Formats: sequence, structure tokens, C-alpha cells
Amino acid sequence: MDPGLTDAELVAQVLVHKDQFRGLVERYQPKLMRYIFRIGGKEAGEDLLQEVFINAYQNLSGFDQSLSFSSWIYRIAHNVVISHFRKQKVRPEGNLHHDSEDVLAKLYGEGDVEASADLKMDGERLSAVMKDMKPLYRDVLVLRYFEQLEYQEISDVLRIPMGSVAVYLHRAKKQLKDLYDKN
Amino acid sequence: MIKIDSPVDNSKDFAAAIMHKIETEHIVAHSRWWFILHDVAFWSLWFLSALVGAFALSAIVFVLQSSSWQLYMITHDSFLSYATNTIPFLWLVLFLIMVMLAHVNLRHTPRGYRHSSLLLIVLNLAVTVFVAVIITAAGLGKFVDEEVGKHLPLYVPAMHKQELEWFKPEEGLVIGKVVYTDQTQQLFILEAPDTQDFDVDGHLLSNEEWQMLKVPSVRVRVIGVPETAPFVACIVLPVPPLGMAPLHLEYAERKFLEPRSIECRGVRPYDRFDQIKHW
Repeated sequence: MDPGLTDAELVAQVLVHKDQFRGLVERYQPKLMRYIFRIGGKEAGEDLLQEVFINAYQNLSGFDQSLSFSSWIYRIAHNVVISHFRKQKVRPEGNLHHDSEDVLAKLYGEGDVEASADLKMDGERLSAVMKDMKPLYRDVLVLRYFEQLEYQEISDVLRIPMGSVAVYLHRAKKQLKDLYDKN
Repeated sequence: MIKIDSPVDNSKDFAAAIMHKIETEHIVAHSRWWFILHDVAFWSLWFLSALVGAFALSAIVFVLQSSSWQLYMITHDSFLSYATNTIPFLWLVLFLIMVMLAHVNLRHTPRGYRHSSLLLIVLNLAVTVFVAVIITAAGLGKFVDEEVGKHLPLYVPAMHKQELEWFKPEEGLVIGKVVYTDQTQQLFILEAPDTQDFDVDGHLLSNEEWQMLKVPSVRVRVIGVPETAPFVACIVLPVPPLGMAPLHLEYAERKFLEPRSIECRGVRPYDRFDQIKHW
């Protein structure tokens, strides 16, 4: 695989030569593994990641090339994890404490002084608080601050209007702060 | 769950394992057509929902237009009983369900989720209303109302409901199609809803009312004196759509002229008509 290829170019190649799918897997495996671990916790592992890539392989012809491939495959990963935990009838635990320092730094960086001052908490605590958050709020926070996706990409992953992403992010930060205060 | 035989140490091994799995399990990618059909299905369902919603809206408009709310006091004791009897609940419920279905289907089109619910609802309503205007203009609202009445046991079409409300000779109300007029004999014959001929004495009617009665196959509502043979007409009103607003000023003015008032005074629908004039 030529590392200089964009996602769109790589997808175009895969649609002609299926064996090129290997390049997409190599490119997205680390990111998606982290994402699945973040939203699914230790319960979620490589089995789910395999399911994500097989799912992506089967549905690649349906990928709208005018959209971001990254959003598309994140959406598949999101759905696979949600569906997995729904079948298990348990709530995903999530695991966020490994990179919570970065997230806090980003929250500071956004100039949300009131929230960021109150969110000065350790990683494990952040992870515990986020477990109690409304799933949609947790999802937007993870996608925005842990996965560093743009608003439009979050909109495409969660299939919600872009305006709603901003609203949910605002509410998510507020809920995070409220939950932290309660604890 | 897919299992990979060998441990996965890095992305290259993982990718190799995925490719191996695809090959050995003969996993096939869906064709482009499958996705195109999927998109077409949602667009079609959206259009179908909007179309059915438009038919429902057209039927609502027809039912309300033909209900002559201005005359509710003649046929009902209160506006509440009139409204309960007239509001087309079936069509309203169907319309709301279709608006919701159209919204859901539009949201599932390739980029439908990117727009706010409000925008999608407004867009849906705009399309539905536009199609409903065309359907109504083509007279299909009445057609739908009558066809559903033929096939749905408990549903009473608007025109039949109107006949039930207006064909009560014992209360001074008659409705039907004019099949014969003789102004010199001051007699006209209606084909009543039960298809029987119904003789009406028109000696109290004005020349304008006779002109209306002479329109071929015209359907009219008659307020008259109960228990008279033949039935003595006090006022003749057109049935929509011939006259959408049946309360012409001339009726209000003329009905107090003698001898009409003397013979018709005390007849409940006639007195109610008087109240409408002052309303």
C-alpha cells in the first residue's frame, strides 16, 4: 500500500482490487482498536474489531465517496459495539482513563474555563463519571475529544444534524461537570 | 463471531488475518446495486408516505368543505356535537401517521440525517400540501372519501353523512337531487337518498330559488314544514360544491317576508336559520 494515498484513493483501488482492502485495515486498525476499547471497555476486543472490518468489506460499495471514509468506518465501529452490548444486555463500561490527560488539555484549550476548572480530575475518575453519562452525550465527547473528529464527522458517525452535535457537546460538558460535582 | 487462528501482534498481521478470513469463508461484498436499491426504497417509501398523506389531506379538505359548518345550528344542538360528528378523525390520524412515516423515511435517505427535524417536517408538509392541492383540484378528495366508504364498514362518507343529517322530513329537513320542477304548479320532485321520489310544495319560494331548482341534476337541501303533504318548502339551499357559502344575504332578508314567515314560524330548522342570520 502506498502510504501517500488518501482514503478516497485507497477505497477506489479496493473497489477494483479487493485485496487492497488490506491497506485500509492496516491504516485504521490502531485507531479503531482504541475507539472500540474507549467506548466498549475491556469487554470489547479484537473480535469486535474483526467484525467492524468484515462489515466494512461487505458494505464498501455503499460508501458514499463524497463523504469522509473515516466517518463511515467509525460509524460501522460504533454500530458494531452498540449492537454487541445490546445483544449482551449490558451497558458498555468504556475505558477512558488512559488518555484523559489529553482530553482535559483539549477542554482547557477550548477556553471553556468554567467547565475545565471543574473537570480537573484524574483519569480513572473521569472514566467513572463518563460511565454514568447519557450514552449520546458520552459518544459525542469521545468522538470529539478522544478521537478528535470534526463536527461534520461526528454528525456522520452518529447520523445527527451538525447543529445538534454542538448542542449535545455543550450539554455533555455540562452533564460531565454536574456528575463530577455530585461525586 | 469471527475467530482468527493466530495471535495478532500488529496491524499487518491483523490485516493478513482479516484477508485470510475473507478468502477462506468466501465473504462477499454487497454489490453497488444493493445499495442503490436500498436508497431508492427509502426515497420511494418517503414519496409513498407523502402521497398517501396528501390523499388524506385532500379527503379532510373535502369533508370539511362539504360539511357546511355555517349551518350546524340547523342540524345539531351544539357546535360540539356538530364537530364530533364532522371532524374526519380517520383521515386526520392517517395524515399524521403519514407525516411521521415520511419524516422517518426522509431521515433514512443517504444524507437525510444531516438536516434538522424541523426542516424535514416543513419540507414534508410542503410537498404533501402541494400534492394535496393538485389532488383536491382534480376532485380526487371526494373520490377517495367515497371509495373508502364503500370498502370500510364503519366509515360513513361525507355526502352520505350529510344525507343522514339532512333527510329528516319529520323535523322539517329534506335533501335530494331535483328530478322535476313545475313553477306554475309550484311543485318540484326530489330524488331522496333512499331513491324514492319526494314531492315538495314550493309556493313560498322566490324566483331565485326556482332558478336554482331548474339547474339540471342539482342537489338541494330544503327546510320545510314537517308533516305536510306534499312537504311545504320554506327555504331551499344549495348543496356544496354548487354553493360553498349557502348563506346568501338574500335568504336572510327574504325569509322574513310574508307569507313565508307565517307558515314557517315555529319550525325548528327555520327558526335556527333566523338565529344564524343574527349570529
